[in-house]
Amino acid sequence: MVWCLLTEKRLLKKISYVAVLLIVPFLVFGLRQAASQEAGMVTIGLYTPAEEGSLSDALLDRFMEEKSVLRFLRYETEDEAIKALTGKTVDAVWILPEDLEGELVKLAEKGTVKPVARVVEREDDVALTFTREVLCSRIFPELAYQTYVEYVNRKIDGNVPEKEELLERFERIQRTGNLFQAEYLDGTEDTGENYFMAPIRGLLAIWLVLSGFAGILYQKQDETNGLFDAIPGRKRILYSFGLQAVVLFNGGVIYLTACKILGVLDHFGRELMLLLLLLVMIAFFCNVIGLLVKRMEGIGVLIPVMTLLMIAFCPIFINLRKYGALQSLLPPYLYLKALHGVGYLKYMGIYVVAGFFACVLLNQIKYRR
Amino acid sequence: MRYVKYFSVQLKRTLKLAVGVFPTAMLLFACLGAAAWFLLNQGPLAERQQKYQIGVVGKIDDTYLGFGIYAIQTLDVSRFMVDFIPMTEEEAQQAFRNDSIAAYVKVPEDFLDSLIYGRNDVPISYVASEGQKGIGGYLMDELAVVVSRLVTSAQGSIYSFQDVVYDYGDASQLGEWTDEINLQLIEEVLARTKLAELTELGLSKGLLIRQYYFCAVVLLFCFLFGISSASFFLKRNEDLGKWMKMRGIGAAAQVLCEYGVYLLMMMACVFLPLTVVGIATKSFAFLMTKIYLDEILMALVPILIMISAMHFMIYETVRNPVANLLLQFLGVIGMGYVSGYIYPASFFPEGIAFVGSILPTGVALERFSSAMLDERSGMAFGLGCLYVIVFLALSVLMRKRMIERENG
Repeated sequence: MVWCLLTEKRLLKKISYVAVLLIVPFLVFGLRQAASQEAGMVTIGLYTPAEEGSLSDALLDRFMEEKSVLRFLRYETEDEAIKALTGKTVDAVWILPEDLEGELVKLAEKGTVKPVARVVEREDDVALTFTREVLCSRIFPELAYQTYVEYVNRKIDGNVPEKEELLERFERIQRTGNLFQAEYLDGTEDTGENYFMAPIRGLLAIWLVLSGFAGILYQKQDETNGLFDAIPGRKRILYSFGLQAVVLFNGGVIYLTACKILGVLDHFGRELMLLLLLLVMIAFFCNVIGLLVKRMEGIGVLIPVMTLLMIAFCPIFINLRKYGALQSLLPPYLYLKALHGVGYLKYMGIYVVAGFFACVLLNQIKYRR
Repeated sequence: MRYVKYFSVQLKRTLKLAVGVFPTAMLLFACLGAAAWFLLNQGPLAERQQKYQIGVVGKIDDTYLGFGIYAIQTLDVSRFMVDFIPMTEEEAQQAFRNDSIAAYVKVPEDFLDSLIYGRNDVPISYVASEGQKGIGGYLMDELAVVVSRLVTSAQGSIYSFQDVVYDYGDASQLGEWTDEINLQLIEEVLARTKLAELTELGLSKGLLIRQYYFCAVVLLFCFLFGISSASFFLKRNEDLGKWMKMRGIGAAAQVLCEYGVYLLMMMACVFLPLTVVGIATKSFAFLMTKIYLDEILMALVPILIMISAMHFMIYETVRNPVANLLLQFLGVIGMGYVSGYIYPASFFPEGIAFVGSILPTGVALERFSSAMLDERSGMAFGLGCLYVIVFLALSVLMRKRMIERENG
C-alpha cells in the first residue's frame, strides 16, 4: 500500500503525466460542446421559388427544424443551391415547386403518382437513394391529406364541409410520433446519442488499456534501471499489480469524469461495477503480455497493433459479431457489450479469474529457476 | 564536417535498430490493411450497400401485418434493401449475436389493434445495435421515422374520411369506400419514390470511398509509426546532448541531424510496404483510378516531413514513457477521428470539421487526397510548412533546456 502511494506520488510529480490525464476531460467537454452544432451524415441543399407561407415553404421550414442524421442548408436561389452542389458544399439539392399544393391536388384527383419535386445530385449512390426516401416521406402526408379531401368531395354529394373543417378533422385524427422504439439486447431503451459522440466511450476504454500498457512499460523501465533487483523474481508480480492499480486508478477516475461530461452515467452503481471489472481485466491482460514479452521494444511493437485490433474488433465503429472468441480476449469488447447486453457480466467474471491464474502461472514459469 | 560525422553515427545507430523497427512497420501495415478491409467489407460503408436481413419476432401469420410484410417484400422498392425473416425471440437474439441478421423487430400482440383503432400507443421495438451504436443503427432510426410517417399519415387520411362520412354522408357505403381509399393510399405508398424526379449532373463526388480510406489508412500508419519507433527515441543517451554540445554540436544541429535520420528511417518503413502493395496489386488497381506508385510516394514525402517532425517534437517534449504513450494515442486517434480518418469529415459539425482540417492529421489528409485527385491545395501546403517549422523549433527549444538542465 505504501509502495502504491509512493508510486502515485512519483507519477503525479511528472507534469507531463498529469497534463495528459487532464487533457482527456477537456477534450471530451470540447467535443460535447461542438456536438450541439448542426451536423449530418449527408448535407442537403433546399430551395423553393414558392412564397413564404406556402406548402413548399412550410415543408422546407420543417426540414430545417427537424433533428435528423441529414443536415439541411436553405438557399435563396436555384443557382446558389446548384453552385453549392458543384462546389461540394452539399451532397444533393431538393427543389420544391411554387405550387406544391396544386400539384398534389391534381395527383389526388387523377389517383396517380408523378414527380412534384426535383432532386439534383452530382452522382447517385445508396446513401442518396436513402435520403430521397426521407424527402418522399415528407411529401407523402400532404398527398395523403389531398387524397382524403378528394375522396370526401367524390363520395359526399352536396353538403361537403369547408376546407378549414376538413383540415381540422385531419389534424385532430392523425397521430404523429414514432411507431418504433429502438432497444438494446437487454431491453433498455436507446437514448439516441449523437452519432459522432457514440464512439467516444469506446475510444476511452481503449485509452484505459493503453494506460495499462504504459504501466507495463514503466515497470520494464524500472527493471532496466535496477529498481527491482532486490526483490525476488516471483514476488515482482505483486509490484506489477500495484503499479497497474495506481495507473489504472488514475485512468479510471478520468474515465468516469469523461463519462459524466458525456452524460452517459445514468446508472452510476452499474457503471462503477463494470468499470472496476474492466480495470481488473486490463491489469491482468497487460500483465500477461508483460510476462510473455520480455523487452520494452516488444511491448512498443504490440501497442499500435493492439490499438488497431481493438478499434477493429470492439463494438466502437463497426459491430463485428463473427469472431466472438478472439474478440473476447480484448477487455473493451466484453465491457462495451456488457453495457447494454445480456450475459456478458458472467464472461467478464470468467475473464478476471482466468486472467489471474494466467498471470500467476506465467510468473511461476518465468521465474522457476 | 563534425555535423556529417554526427549524422553518420546516428545513421549507423538507426540501422542497428532497423532490425526491430522494420518488422514492426510491416506488422502494423498488415493490421491496418486488415482493418481497412473490414471497414470496406463489413463496416459502416458495407452496411449501406448490402441487403439487410431483419428478423421479425411476434405473431404475424394470418394477420394484416403478415400481409403487409408480404406486400413490402414483393411490391415495395425496399425489397431490394430488406429481407424479413420470421423467428422466435431466442432465435433472433442468437442470430443477432452470430451476425446472421442485421437487426430484429419485436411486434407486440396488441400492436395491430392499437394501429387499427388509431391509438398508436404500442410501438414495435427493434434491436439494431449492441455495445456502441454504428452508422447502420442511426440509419435504422431514420428509416423507422420514415415508415412511421407513411403509416400514420395514411391512417389519418382513412380515419378522417370515415369521420366526415359519418357526419355528412351515407355511412351504409362506408366499408366499400374505405376499401377504395385504402387501395388508393397503398398505391401511393408503393409509388412514393416517384414523387421526386432525379437529375444527375454526372460530376465526380471527389474521391471514391475506397480511395478516401486508402489515404486514411496510409496516413494512420504514418502517424502510428511514432509509437512503433519508441525504441529509436527511448534508447537515446540522455547525457549525449551535453557531451555533443561540448564537442561543438549545438542543440539545433543535434536535433536536425537526428531528425534527418529519423525521417529517412520513416520513409524507408513507409515506402517499403507501399511498394510491395503497389507491385502486388498492379499499381493499386483496387483504387479504381490511374495512379502510379511513384506518384503516391512523391505525394507522401512532404507529408512524412511533417509527421516525422511531429513525432520528434513529442518525444523531445514528453520523455516519460507513460505520458508519451497516452499522448501519442490521444494525438493520433483523437486528431485522426475529428479529421475524418474513420468517419468522413463531412459527418461532423462545421466547427469540429474546421478544427479537424487544420490539425496535422487534417493537413496530411487534405494534401494526400488532393494529390490522388491531381489537385493542389495551397492552404494545406502552407499549414504543413508552418507545422514543420513549429515542431522543429519546439524540439530545439526542448533540447536546449535539457542540455542546460544537465549542465546545471
